[in-house]
Amino acid sequence: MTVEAGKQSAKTEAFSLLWTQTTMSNHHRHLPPETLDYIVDLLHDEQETLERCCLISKSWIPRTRKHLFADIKFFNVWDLEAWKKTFPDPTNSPAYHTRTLLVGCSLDVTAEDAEDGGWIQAFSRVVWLELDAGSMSIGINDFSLAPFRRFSSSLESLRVGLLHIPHLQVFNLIRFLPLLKDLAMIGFEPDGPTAIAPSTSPALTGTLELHLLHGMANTARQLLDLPNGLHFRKLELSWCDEEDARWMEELVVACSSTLEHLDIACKMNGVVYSIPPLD
Amino acid sequence: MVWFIPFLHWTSDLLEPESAGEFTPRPIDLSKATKLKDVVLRCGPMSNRWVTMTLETIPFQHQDLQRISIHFPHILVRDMPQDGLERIEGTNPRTQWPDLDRLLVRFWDSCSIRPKVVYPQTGDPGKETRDWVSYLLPEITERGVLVKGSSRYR
Repeated sequence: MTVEAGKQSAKTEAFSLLWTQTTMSNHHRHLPPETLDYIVDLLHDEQETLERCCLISKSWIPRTRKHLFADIKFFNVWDLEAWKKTFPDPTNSPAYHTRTLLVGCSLDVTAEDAEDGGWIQAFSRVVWLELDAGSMSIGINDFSLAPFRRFSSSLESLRVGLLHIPHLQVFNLIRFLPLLKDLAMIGFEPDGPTAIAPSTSPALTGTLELHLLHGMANTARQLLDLPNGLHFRKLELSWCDEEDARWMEELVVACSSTLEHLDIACKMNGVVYSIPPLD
Repeated sequence: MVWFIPFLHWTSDLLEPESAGEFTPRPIDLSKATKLKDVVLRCGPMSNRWVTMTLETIPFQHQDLQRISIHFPHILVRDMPQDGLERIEGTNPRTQWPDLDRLLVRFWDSCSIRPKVVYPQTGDPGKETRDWVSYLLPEITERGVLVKGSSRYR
């Protein structure tokens, strides 16, 4: 039996057990809570089944919530509004269970957080965070990533789409994330003021991913200035021109004592060659 | 036979084919990255020389290195009513490909590192780039290292 088939079989069995629970009215047939938790954990990636579990018994809700709200995505302001309408009290929302959070409307989220007195902090256990600016309904100068500093006790991976998010903001956020291992910055590297070199530095022992369409000079310089140095084990870099190649080399040299995986893509545009006839 | 045609991009003035051989960024020095296990180099136009030079910095006595992957650039297949030719970005057969071919063979023979050469899918089964890659890297191709990649260019 393959691993996948084994998992499927375990899930089927778990679901059968739950089904038995729901159909048995006899209290003696109730499963002990730890067994029930174990079964629900087996169903962690079965969204539909977990939703059904929530409807069966109140006692099942806490464990199923742990999985149902582990991965939350706010693609736009409407998603955000729906969340806030469903869970008006941040202290009592299932945000506590969220481990992976995508915020595709960071500008709006941070603005609303300021208005509502800090609902972002309810997501206090997020380990992986992806930020994109989204719509430009507020001015970029009024925008701050400061609310996400509240993830400092848990955040290990940060992925930022840089189209409208100021470079300065990203580095000012990073300095408050001591556990940060992985950093990905994708999109355009904007001009503008550079961040002040922080006195403390995150761990940065995981993966660094830089895919910056207009060069990586600013970003690389900021990273290389971090006081504790760089200890990435994996570098995924895209380069466009000679200056990029120089900065890329600096990053590789800075991580040379820890580097295990290197993935480099050349994005230079230039020439199209015709394919000669093959003999 | 037309061997190359300038492609109008913002860098085209820097990369005019006749002078293109001169434009090679400094290679990355990997000699100090002694824990390196896995190297993936995704060629772009004109970067095959840079790829070769970068790989040359890896000492053959490197203990931990297990994998080297070379990804060929995303193909640009265009219908050319005038001459019926297909085109591929960044594969000027006049420059440096034999050096890369020999180097990959050396890694295999000296360090038992079996390289992987990934060629892009075109989305059109009749227009695969496999033969073209075999033409550029004949010796290493003969050893069966070609792998079809994704049609998406990272």
